[in-house]
Amino acid sequence: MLPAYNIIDEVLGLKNIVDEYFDSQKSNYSRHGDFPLVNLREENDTITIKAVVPGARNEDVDLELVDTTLQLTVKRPRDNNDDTYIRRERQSGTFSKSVRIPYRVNPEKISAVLKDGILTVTLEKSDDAKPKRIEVK
Amino acid sequence: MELTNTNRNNKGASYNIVPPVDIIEETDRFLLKADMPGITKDGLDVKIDNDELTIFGKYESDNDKEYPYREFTIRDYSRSFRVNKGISTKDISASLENGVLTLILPKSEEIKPRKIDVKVAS
Repeated sequence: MLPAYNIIDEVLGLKNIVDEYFDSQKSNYSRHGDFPLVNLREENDTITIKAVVPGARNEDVDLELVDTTLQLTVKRPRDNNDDTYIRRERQSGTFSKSVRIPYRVNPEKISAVLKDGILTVTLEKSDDAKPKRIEVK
Repeated sequence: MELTNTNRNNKGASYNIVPPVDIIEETDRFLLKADMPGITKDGLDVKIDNDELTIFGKYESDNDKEYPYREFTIRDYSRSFRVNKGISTKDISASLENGVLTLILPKSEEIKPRKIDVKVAS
């Protein structure tokens, strides 16, 4: 007699593997998440990027536009000696993230504002990436 | 000295963001730093009730919902701590800079390190 192959057990086993994976991701989220977290919005040829960078001052933020990729690097220096910490939950170190912009932007019209630990970057579509109307003669 | 997280007892705390904190001990004081990006001075509320220290940050809703791609959503922040007798609660001061709240909790006189005069028996 052939051994019964129980597909339900296989499926549930796989489900558990997936669940365990996501559970472990969740608990580590704040430590290993893609820092800095960003929100993106596009409207009328303008892209707005908001990033959470608590504690960062202007000189700790570095923005670089390479072709159509915006690279955001944030330094979060540790401000006390290691041995004086009773509890340490805030992240420190250097974090970076690249955001791919779907079109070329006007490098002259990029603005970045840092307020209350939130960085807002505004990029405008470059003129040569905008649609052009061609006159038919 | 231990600051105990007492958030569990707060109603509705699960909906608020629990800000990550650093607690640093210095000779004569403790520093508590909490990441609360998006919070302004007006939205911040630091309370001490008996031995419970609560930090609360009201987030004045921005246009977050208008961002179709979202990795973060800011809500109100709250977190509570149990403060023991080693802290002079009336002298606690707070400052907010770049979305980071810093509380200075001076140690009470009883637990401050102190120099003991050694008398030489003559």
